[in-house]
Amino acid sequence: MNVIWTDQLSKTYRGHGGFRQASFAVSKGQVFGCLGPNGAGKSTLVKTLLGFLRLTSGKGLVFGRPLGDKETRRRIGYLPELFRYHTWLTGEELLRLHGQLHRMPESQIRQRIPVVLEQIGMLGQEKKKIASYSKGMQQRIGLGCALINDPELLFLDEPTSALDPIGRRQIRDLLVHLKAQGKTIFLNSHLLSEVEAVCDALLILNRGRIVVQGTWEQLQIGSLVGRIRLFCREETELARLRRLQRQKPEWREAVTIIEPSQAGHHAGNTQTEFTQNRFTLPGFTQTGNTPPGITLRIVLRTREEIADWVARLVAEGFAIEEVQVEKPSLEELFFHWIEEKETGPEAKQHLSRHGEVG
Amino acid sequence: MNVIYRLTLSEGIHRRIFHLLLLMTGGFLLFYGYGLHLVYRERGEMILSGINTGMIHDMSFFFTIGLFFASFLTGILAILASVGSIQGEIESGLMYGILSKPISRLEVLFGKFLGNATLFFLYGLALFFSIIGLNRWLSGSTLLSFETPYLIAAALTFTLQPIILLAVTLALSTRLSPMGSGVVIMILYGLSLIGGFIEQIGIELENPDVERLGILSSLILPVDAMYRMTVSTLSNHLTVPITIPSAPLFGSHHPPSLAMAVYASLYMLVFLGIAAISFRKRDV
Repeated sequence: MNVIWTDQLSKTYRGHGGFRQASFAVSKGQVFGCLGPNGAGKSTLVKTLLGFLRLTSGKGLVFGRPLGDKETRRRIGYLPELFRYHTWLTGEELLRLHGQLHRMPESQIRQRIPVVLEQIGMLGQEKKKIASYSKGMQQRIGLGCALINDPELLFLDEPTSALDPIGRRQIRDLLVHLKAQGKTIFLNSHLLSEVEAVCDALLILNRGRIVVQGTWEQLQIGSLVGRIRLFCREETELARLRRLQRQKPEWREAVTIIEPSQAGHHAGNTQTEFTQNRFTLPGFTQTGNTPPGITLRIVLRTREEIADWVARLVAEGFAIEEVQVEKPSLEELFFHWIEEKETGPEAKQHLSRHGEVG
Repeated sequence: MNVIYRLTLSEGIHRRIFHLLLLMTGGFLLFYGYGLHLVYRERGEMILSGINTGMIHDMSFFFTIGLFFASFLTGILAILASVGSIQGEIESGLMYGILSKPISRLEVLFGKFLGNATLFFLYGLALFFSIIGLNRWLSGSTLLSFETPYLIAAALTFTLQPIILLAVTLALSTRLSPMGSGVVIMILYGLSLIGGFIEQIGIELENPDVERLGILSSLILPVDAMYRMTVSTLSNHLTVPITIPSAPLFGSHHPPSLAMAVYASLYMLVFLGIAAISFRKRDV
């Protein structure tokens, strides 16, 4: 079941800014990350989903109801990017106020306050005035306000922007805990590590357009890289590989040959490990006459595709020394997709061949 | 709406500007009271000898000038306290926490209006009766005794001033920044006050064109007209069978009609309606 659904949703300001033609869905229990550089339209997207902004075109539903539906908000919690609260209230009074705004019965509010304070790590601080809170504490109490109604759907816009590393870790743990409880979370962030740690799926926005979206597996398509190191027996093997690239388009598109002389430059640590292994692999003796190994860098569509490439190489008579599949980090994925959009697939492929984009 | 109403009241009471205004109001009342004391001490012998024109003149002058400054203070409070009500809270981020709850924008707006209006009404009422009380106490005269229904009517027109300003400022704050709203409403308020003076001068000079200019300013913002109505209601309905002559500029030589009170009330409602529509339609 989709908790959030949009179709060609756009919000622009006289044709500028905002975001355009966003179509995506967030299913129940999913932690959905929204990534993008500053000014990409992330906060505008959240505000539109919450009904703060009137959409320019397209459609959107939250819990099957139109965006901004008053009753739907009972099931939603929201921590804004720009948070500020009534400074003369104490933390407890602020949580009570937000409970009252949700029209929760007083007994339920009384029951929820200590639970929420525990969740946000602010037990013992609730009697102090908000004015005396640090920025990080204000962000935590803001998260508490978003959680007071025990929402099914949480919108968190940069929830750790004011927190120190310990605070960030605690909030990340809290998000994992909420995820385990089956909450749906829409997380806006430009902190890649935060999104990487908790999100099941994500979308990347750049200049108001969705560059890519999907689950981790789906996003890795095109940026999943396999490295196959060949055990070279003859000097002619490099020439054979080049011939295969000329003859077969899929070899030309997916495979980059890293010659021994380029290895250190292109492969970094992985190559060093390969080089070290070459002398320690059991059953082999380095004679000094064997030509140095060649590494093939192969762009994979799926993780399983590496087996096909091994089979193809073996069928062509190559001996395999080592196989590795590198799972890209979110940072690599992020830049991969941002640059793909900025430079176009062809340019991306070109850069990729030269080992400049991973 | 009830939560927003209580929140607005609480916010108003906790605002530093309100504390400052209370302090300054206290200072003003002390200063004003001391001035009255000095004046009425000089006139002591006359008071003892009964009603006389000199005393009535003094009383009229100091009473109306006190009332004028009190109405100015309520106006300033209304403007300063409500100038950042909508756009200011959006800019600061305060509004997002509220609007993400199951509460409509109209409830937020009307809650804010009623909360502020209650505060301004109580403040205005306290000032109004403080001015009357000080004059009565320090003059040692029972001259300033008013027929109850007219006293209530005067108190209502007096306290309507900040509420009209509140409605207009709220409407402005749905679109303009606190600074922008502040500039516009201060100019309008200034125009209303100056218009009131011009109208009184026009009457004194028996120049209907000048008088009409004053009336026009009352139509643009009928705040000063409510002050003039308050003064005329009080000065014409004393319990003793005399009429206090109006003080120049601060009095009311030609009292606004009842139609003006109706107009002012409708004016306030129209601006409240504009505020509601404008807030409901805007992006936040």
